[in-house]
Amino acid sequence: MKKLAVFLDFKQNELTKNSKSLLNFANSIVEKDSNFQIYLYTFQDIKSCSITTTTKSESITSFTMNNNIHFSTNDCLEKIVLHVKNNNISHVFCSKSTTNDLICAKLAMILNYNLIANIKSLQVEDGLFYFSKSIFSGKAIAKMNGTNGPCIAIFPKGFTGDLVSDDQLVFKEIKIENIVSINISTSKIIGESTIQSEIQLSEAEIVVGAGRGLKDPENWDIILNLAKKIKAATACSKPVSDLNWRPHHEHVGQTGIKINPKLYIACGISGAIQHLAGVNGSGTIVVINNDPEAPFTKNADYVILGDLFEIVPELTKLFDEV
Amino acid sequence: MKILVCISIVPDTTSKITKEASDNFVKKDDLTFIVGPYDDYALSRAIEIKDSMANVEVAVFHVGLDKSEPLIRKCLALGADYAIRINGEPTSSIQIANEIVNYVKENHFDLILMGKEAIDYNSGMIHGLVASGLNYNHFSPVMQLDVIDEGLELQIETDSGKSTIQCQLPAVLGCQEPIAEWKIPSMRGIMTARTKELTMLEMKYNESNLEINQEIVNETNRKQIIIPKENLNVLIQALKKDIQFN
Ligand SMILES: Cc1cc2nc3c(=O)[nH]c(=O)nc-3n(C[C@H](O)[C@H](O)[C@H](O)COP(=O)(O)OP(=O)(O)OC[C@H]3O[C@@H](n4cnc5c(N)ncnc54)[C@H](O)[C@@H]3O)c2cc1C
Ligand SMILES: Nc1ncnc2c1ncn2[C@@H]1O[C@H](COP(=O)(O)O)[C@@H](O)[C@H]1O
Repeated sequence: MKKLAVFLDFKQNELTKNSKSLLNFANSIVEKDSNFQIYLYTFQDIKSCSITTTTKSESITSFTMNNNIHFSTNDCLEKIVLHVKNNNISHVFCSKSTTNDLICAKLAMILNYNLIANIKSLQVEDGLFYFSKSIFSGKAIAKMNGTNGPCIAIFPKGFTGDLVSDDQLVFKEIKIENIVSINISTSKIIGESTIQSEIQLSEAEIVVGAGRGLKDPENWDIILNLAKKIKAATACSKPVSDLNWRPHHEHVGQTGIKINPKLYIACGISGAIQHLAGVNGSGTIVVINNDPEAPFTKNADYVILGDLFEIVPELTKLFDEV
Repeated sequence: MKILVCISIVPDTTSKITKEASDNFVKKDDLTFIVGPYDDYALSRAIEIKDSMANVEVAVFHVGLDKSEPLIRKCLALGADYAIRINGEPTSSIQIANEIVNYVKENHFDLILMGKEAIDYNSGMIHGLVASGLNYNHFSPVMQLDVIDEGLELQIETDSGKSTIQCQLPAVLGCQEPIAEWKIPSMRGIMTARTKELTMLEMKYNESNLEINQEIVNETNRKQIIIPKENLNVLIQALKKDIQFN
């Protein structure tokens, strides 16, 4: 029997979209191979929730910190380590997040498990795990042949894998049973600020990005209007956030956030390779630029050549009529 | 305070990654290498701290082959005091982490700074592994770092925004911008770097149970369709088809 733990993330007692996809993926592995059993963990403070999962998982074990501080030292992980060991869990899956990354790296070191991040695909055959991961900021893929040792796998946000269709899975409702609270911490949070935008960039299905072509932070209204119309998150290039035209957390690229929306609309961005490194995971890319030589035009699905100050409002209007 | 800055040496961000059909791995020979951009942020912040306080020592640490030495010298030219290179070719994060842990167990450091991730294999895991191996405090990605009486005050990015945190030393941090501005070595820095100490030690953790068997260049062939700006409806129709746009 192989035991697989899946880390689940919740937002206000609701399973996040990323966790839902990952759980579906884990379920599909388990359904194909009867030698697996699933355990569910969460590190968020949820009192109750019900999610659907396969017949092979029983309950969620919730590990939470008293003051919601990050799992910043090994001591905070003692109870998790014990749980993994006592239940002989050999594989751990989680969706990339600040908390999960902190926990996974430490667990891997303590348990001496392999650790694989940035997973592009995973197949299980005869009990062996075949991974591939994205490398060189998405410019290439690395394949790793069947390992059967214990491992911790971190999947990027939005990972769906090769899902089997839902109707092949037998679902049931499960409840949170086991609440373990952890009290140790040598750090304290002295302030927090949450991003106000409604749609989180790293999870958005549509993103509208803008660059130095906007010329002035005062001009951002046309971008915000378009984003609002099509329920998109907004992003920017690095110089734009360096100039404080837009908040730092909107900066995408090599040194910023890596996004993988279904649609990315880039307005007044030249498409420097460092910017592309953050957006090349997008499904469809639309570029609006007045320079036919801009590198982005070679890396786009649709290119509109012209003045963004005319095109963006026009496009916003057209989406209205859809 | 002793600060250890761990650097990765990676293909330049503008490199075009290519592969010969007959090879299993991408071509590395003709690439230009740089110090990882996030590691550069970490080093810049370490040097700013050294310049702003008394009794701060900054060491640079790298696991890799001797062809990395000119770039390590560049770090010394930026203001680091000395450097350590562990000679070898690691294939996994755990190996690199173990080398760092091993060195720090013998040579205490209060603060270990790394980049948020190395931009070659993009794992972002070594700082966590090292923190665990040493049982130090650990945070990543850190966007602001100040040394205060009680230890450190940090601003970190979280999944929902930002947190300001106080933690005690010792600590391991994964850094990202805007923690510091990248620096350019001065003429004087370049001169003094020549005589700074660069110690070479042999790699101890030669075994890795996780190996990459094959690399494939990701060719995304975008359609590059030009949409006439007079008729943007063409775009809307195309998007509707492509992504069940609603
Ligand atoms: C190590 C390193 C890491 C980096 N990391 C990142 C990163 O993470 N993210 C990132 O974005 N950059 C990054 N950069 C910077 C990157 O190299 C580029 O400088 C940057 O992306 C350019 O931003 P931009 O496209 O907004 O500005 P510009 O290059 O100035 O481009 C502006 C574009 O707007 C167009 N334009 C102007 N006016 C109009 C108009 N009226 N209508 C339509 N189009 C118009 C122009 O034709 C031009 O193509 C990094 C650089 C380095 C060295
Ligand atoms: N070969 C190396 N030698 C020393 N430090 C490294 C090496 N590779 C990576 N690092 C450090 O670990 C950080 C995270 O790397 P990674 O987990 O590989 O993405 C990098 O930003 C560096 O600070």
